[in-house]
Amino acid sequence: MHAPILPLLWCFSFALILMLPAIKARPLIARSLHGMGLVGLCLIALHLFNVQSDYGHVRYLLGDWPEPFGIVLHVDSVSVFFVMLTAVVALLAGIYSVAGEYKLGSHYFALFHFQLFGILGAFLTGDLFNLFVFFEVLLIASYGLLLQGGGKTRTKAALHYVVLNLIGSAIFLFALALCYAALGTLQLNDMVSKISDLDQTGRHLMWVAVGFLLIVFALKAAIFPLHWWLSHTYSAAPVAIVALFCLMTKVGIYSIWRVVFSLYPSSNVFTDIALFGLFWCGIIGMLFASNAILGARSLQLMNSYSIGLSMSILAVATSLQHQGVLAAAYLYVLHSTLISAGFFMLVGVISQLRGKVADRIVPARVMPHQPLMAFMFMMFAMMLVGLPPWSGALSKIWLAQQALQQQQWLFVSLLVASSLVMLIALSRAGSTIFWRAKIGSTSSGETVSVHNAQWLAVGLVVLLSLLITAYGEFLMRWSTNAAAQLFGVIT
Amino acid sequence: MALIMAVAIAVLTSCGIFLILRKRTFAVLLGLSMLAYAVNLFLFASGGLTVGQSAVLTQSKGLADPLPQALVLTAIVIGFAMTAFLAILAIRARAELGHDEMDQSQHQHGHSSDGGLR
Repeated sequence: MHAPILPLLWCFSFALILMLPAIKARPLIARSLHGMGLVGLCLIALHLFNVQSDYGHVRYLLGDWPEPFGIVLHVDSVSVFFVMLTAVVALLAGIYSVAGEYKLGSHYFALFHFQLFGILGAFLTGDLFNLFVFFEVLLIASYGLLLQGGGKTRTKAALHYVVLNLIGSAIFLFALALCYAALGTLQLNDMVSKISDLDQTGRHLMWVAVGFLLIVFALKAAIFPLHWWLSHTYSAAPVAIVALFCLMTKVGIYSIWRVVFSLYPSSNVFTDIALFGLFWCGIIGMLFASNAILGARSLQLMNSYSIGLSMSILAVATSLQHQGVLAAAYLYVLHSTLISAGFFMLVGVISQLRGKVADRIVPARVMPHQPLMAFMFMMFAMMLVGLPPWSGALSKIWLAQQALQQQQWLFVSLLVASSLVMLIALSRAGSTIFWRAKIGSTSSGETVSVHNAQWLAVGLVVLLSLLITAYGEFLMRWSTNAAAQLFGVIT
Repeated sequence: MALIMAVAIAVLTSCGIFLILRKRTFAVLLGLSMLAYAVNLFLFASGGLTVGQSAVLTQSKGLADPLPQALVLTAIVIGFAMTAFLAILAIRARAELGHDEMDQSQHQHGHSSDGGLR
């Protein structure tokens, strides 16, 4: 029964192995180890899923210290869901990176696995201070990954990103100290059990602490007033890295679900204020992101804003505090993470084929493989907007249906309107890039080719999106169960 | 004791926030370090302030809460690593961007925007 720690040990040991100079010097071996690590991670995630569905709820005591004293790893259907999502997205980004992006820096593969170690740790841990440590692990790996290849844009984006996250870490520590002062423990389950018999002073301390935590997680999840870093960072990062970064915003929303809602001392004025704030921040964020999507001048920037849009949608869905809405939000997380990672990779291929113009939305020369690329772009646009054969339709319609049952007219109308905005922006971008291309003047001499691994990664996303639709009923049942489990903690 | 601690934390935090809002990277770096010191003191105080108690479990009656000390140790190590990283990054940004300001757009200097991604 060591399944919960397996993914962490696996990623950590691969990160260490890939740092060895003897292996770094041999690209072929490094690449195959990288691939092996990611495929293995998918198998481990599958195993963890099996264990979880057999036992329901697994708590792994590190070093076998008894419950309230040691650090625990916590596996339930929520964390298993996110671990599997991480494994799949990491595999896709890993396949893409093998095509040549790993040459950007010498520690690329090792940092990639360190990042996974941090993300998986954040999903699995059941201890608040441990969550902070894993946040720092994933952040320091992401600083390194963001700077791969260097360049002015990246350095400037990284500077802002690092400073913001350092401030976030400081606020996180303030919150942890307040929690410890009020409750005398930082282990989540222990905190939940002790929070009900707090006196007035302790309860006030916890309000401040939970408010701080909400700010930190909203910064990670890029929810409205704290979303400014997102577009700069994501549009500056290398392609496979940004596909991996799609998971980082989900760490933020996962932490909100897991920590903040379980720590609320049931229903009180403060809960109402926080939920009210989250709701309106989400609504304003949706308006802002839709606006920014219309104004984006490059495809990568447009996709970054579309991540901002999906995070705002998730914020609103979280604030409604309803089991059905949360179940739909699960499916939406699955869809939006996968598709935005896939779209980043498609944009990477497009800008590679277009050469100097890259992914800017301006007419240019006809690119190689033009018809195929146009077709792929159309498919991905349909996925992002949420048109029927793809996974977006299922998740968005379910979300809208659940929210309508709660009479959330504002949210549903904004959800529909933002999809329309995406449709307009993407069709304008597509017609500018593909239809207004100058015919006859193919690029002079230089031959650009697309690596097979890149085709494979993009193709797999299309396949997975179809699979989500095909197995929709199973996934819907599963996410309903997961939401019920999370809701058991919330209420 | 509590008053001294509170004043120290308050002064460090406010200086830190003031410096973070400056526009040079060096000032921001100093501000972040000050904020980190404030956080460490705050964490330390979270276990309750005690005088003359043993830190390790012994035969004596009272003992200080050991957990905040462990937490502070972790926070110091992480904060130190992050600050060191930021210092290197700031030096590199100074070399690559040609100035050490946090948020100077390229246009103000009359350079053309750096192409491609923005």
